[in-house]
Amino acid sequence: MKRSLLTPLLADFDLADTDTSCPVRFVTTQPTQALGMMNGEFIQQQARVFAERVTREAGGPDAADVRACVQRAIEIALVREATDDEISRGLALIDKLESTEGISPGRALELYCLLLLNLNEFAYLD
Amino acid sequence: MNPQSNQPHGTFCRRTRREFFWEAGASFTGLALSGLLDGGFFARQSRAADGVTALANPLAAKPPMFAPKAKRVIFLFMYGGPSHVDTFDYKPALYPLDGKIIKVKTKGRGGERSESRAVGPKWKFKQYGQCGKWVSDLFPNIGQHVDDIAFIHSMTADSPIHGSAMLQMNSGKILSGSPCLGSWVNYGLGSVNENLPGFVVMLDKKGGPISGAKNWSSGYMPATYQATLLRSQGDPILNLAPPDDMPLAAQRALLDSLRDANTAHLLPRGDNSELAARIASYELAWRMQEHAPEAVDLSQETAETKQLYGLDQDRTAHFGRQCLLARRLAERGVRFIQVYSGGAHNDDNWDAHGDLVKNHEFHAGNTDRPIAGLLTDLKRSGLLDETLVIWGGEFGRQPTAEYAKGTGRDHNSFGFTMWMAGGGVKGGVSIGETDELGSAAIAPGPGHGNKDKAGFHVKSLHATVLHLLGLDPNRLSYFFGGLDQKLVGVEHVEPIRELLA
Repeated sequence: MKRSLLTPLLADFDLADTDTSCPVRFVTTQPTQALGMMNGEFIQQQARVFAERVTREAGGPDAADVRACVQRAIEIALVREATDDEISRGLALIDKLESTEGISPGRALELYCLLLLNLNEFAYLD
Repeated sequence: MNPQSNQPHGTFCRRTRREFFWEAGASFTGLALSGLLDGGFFARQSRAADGVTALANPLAAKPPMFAPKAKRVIFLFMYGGPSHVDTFDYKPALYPLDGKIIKVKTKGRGGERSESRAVGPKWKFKQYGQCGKWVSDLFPNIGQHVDDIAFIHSMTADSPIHGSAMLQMNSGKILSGSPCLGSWVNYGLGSVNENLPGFVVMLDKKGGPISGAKNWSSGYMPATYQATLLRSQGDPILNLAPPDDMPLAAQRALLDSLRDANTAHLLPRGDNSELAARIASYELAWRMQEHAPEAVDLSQETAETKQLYGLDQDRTAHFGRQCLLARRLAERGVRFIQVYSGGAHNDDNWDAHGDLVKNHEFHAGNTDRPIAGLLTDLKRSGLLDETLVIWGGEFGRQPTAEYAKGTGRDHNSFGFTMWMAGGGVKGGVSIGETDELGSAAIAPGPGHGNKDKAGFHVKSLHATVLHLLGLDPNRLSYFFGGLDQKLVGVEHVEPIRELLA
């Protein structure tokens, strides 16, 4: 990384000035950050890797194991147990993506993982 | 609307003693407010793209306090501090002093001095327009527009140092943490275009100004009011298009589910405006995805227009593209657009400490045609009537040299020039004066945001901008830290009446 060429992803999130000290960082929230967190190459790749891990640890994204996948994904992302409501919401989304939008089961799980990486609960500490 | 909603954690019952008394006393105001809101408030709720879920849009358009002259602002920020005596503030008496040691009090980066070597203006001045305004050879194209411009020659700022002066020009305060002018405008008026951000900043290709994002932060206001950065090379907004294996309908389903989860998460944390802003930011992102590509598509412009802005020449293409983008955004209802000329450090911006001629030839040469093109284009399309254009830096420069050798000038916050054109501004006028060397403001006398100094304080400029937009600078307030905070501060500040059309 060069000091004069900022990584666009980090720049979106107000990377600290690279040539002066920065004792305090500002919190910013912008639509461009949301775009990066949905469409960006980095986050899409992370969602894929995340889905691979979930599949490995909880069985495949096929009908029989999809509930276990959703549950495991929530546990990993949010470091707590999943609630029934959350699991149903996740299953409903995956079902909708597959049945209405014609997305493959594997990709639907990736998109669900993408969603988890976009949750406020994932982004913010209480 | 509820002032309690932006209180920080960690206060007793989410109240401080001061807030308790404030609220106890404000209940009548509260009643009046709910009455005022009755008609418009729910109408201002918008629907999420699923068409079902109500989504409170914090940027929904709000009526101004009185009839506005301007509806939007384009602020051309000349970062680094352009020299007023070499651009728009003609000082014939300074030329013959070139190289002589003169007694003049200055205070800049190099500290306080009482005598220094004078540097004569390095460019000739010519008269332009019907008003006969003297403009230096640095700006032959802007010179053509002087009859539409009001020059303020006696601007003053509290700090002669970039970081704090930048913050003051942008947020009214020399310390960070306060909302910027663009944030105040969006807070006061909202945005008429739900599909684009209300506050947009475009940076020089050398990078951002000192302190970066603090110059477009919303400070103590919710993050909704901070600026969105628009890039002028490559895709203007990064990641504007979803990847091929995430079709729009699938993305929408995902966003709906995300919003449901985030809304449930927000319920027990209702006082955290960051969370609500983040929920709203996804909806804005969705709409931007659809509408922003059109807004920033310069291929819709004619070759003649592109040439007008200087897109046909390497050195003016960058700033020209940004000025053209600014017009397109202004046309589409973006409230506050800020374009920076100059970034990073030293001669990458207008901070001419060493070779004044080289520095100012470079930056003026990059911006003169684009700015003139913008004014021409705004005028012929009728947009100039309701678009306020502001030009200036965080301060000016001294009439004297900083170093033993060379033409470089140190910072000068005791007198400098800014100009405004368009929405409600009287053209062809020059207001305020610096002394015959341009070292400090001498007119008008104290009282224009300054207690005992002459000239117009930055607050006067801010008050003028708000006034032109139909907002009373002395009433537009945001409750924070136990006070009704205002952009212009505690004391009453008048707009600069002389430039109001």
